Amino acid sequence: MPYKHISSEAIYFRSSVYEIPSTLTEHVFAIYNIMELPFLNYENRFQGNYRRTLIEDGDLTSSLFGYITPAALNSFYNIFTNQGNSLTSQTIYSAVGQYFSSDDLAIFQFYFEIPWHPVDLDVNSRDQPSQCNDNPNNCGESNLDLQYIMSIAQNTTTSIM
Amino acid sequence: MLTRKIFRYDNSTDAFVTWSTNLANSKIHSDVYSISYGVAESYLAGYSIANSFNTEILKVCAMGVTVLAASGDDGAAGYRHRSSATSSCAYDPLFPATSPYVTTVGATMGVETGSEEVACATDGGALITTGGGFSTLFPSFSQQKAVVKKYLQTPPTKAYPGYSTTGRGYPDVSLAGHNYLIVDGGLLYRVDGTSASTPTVAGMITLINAARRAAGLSTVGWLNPALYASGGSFANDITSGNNKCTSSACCLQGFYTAPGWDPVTGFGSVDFTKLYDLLVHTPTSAPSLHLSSVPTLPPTASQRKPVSPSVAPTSVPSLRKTSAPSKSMPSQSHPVTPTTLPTRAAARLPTKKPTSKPVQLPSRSPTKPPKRTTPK
Repeated sequence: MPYKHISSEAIYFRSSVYEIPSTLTEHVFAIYNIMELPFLNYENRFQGNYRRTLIEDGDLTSSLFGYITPAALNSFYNIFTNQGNSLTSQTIYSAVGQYFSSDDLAIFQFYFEIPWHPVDLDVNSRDQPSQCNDNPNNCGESNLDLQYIMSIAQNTTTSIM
Repeated sequence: MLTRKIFRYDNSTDAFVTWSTNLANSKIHSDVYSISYGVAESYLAGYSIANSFNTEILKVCAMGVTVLAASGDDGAAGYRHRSSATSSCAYDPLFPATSPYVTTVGATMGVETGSEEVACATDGGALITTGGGFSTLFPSFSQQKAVVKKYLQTPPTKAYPGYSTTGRGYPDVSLAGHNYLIVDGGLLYRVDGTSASTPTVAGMITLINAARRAAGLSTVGWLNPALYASGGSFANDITSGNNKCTSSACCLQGFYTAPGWDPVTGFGSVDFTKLYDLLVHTPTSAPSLHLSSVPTLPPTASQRKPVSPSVAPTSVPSLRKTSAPSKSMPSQSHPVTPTTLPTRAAARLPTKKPTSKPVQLPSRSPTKPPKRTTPK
């Protein structure tokens, strides 16, 4: 697929796949100047995997029946301990443009009686509570991931990157 | 001896490759990584992006790292067919869920109400349909071939044609993925998704690593060989449901659950105690990276080629979608794409002094674990 550079007007060819003939493989030492061009609209193709609905006043019962909570997961899946240790660690992958809220995490841990434990390492400064308050869509994925990985494995070094 | 080929990779735009390359080059790793994102394989026609990711993840697996990924929320058809008409769907697996070096997690439902645990699907009342199928980019790895072969030879219901019969089957395992409660922006939401199942399983693996490390053992690393060697003995087998819908439509394409492994829920949902026993208490089950069993990279040209349906029907059968939500579902159970700010009142969360009016959630983190009062 040919592309013309805007300023130099040089023509470049883009191919989604390239190979060299197997008969040449033995004799090829190196191939230089191969460039990976970005996908068009790549970020739009990058999908998180969750859907959500706001809980309205009155939807919750005191038993939380019908919902998944850390306690429900522990019970059903025979998670007999949530105690990690300092000998191991865990990380959540976060896409560009996604943030999380340490405030939301603290509220979640308070509500579900999980010992308070903040994220230990925030590699790309994703902790932006104001982003979550302004538009929760900015944080849903990472908040979900952190709240549940840290509720299952507690007392463990946890990172987001 | 010098390598025969040198590929200069110059790309800062592909998020997964950049991430995995940084990971492999880093001297410090976490022991477990959880990825809740994916991109359709049909967008990866260049193959090199996916292959580069695999190469880097293989390196970190060899260092004792476990990587888990969500299987996707749009069934076997994938998110590109989220709004497709039934007749225009196609199989479109999700990457990196299809990476052989990643342990892929699907979603189930039923746990939240104490009913039978089945595949999470919109036609059962969920907001998503768990993803699964067979990669068009990567072949089934050696440890997986037997269960894939068994499924394909004796499927409970023959799947609509057009899927790869040699590709890496996914997911590997599942866990509840319906009606999770989370706090987001100070409000309470219920969430569906393999994005919920995946970090939960990741937490389980972290607990197992913690026990192994405490016992002087290595971390579990690349998990798939041990999972498949066990034959799924750690799992609650899921035998009801399918992944023929996306999160907002239903397709002809999709698979049905079956006894044992299937491309809807893998081996089934993870029983932590059994997995713990398998990976911590059974010395011979300690996972290891068997390079001889690693899928050949790169695959042949035919393996890279997306599979076209071998048999095209001349007429499209009608598909009746059962959309009635379960009795336990709140009335607001329609899929909601989070593109706008919520406009409805937030649910009350417990406070020390419950009132009859909705309360504002605390806007700041507590400085220490607060004492909890009983919910109203």
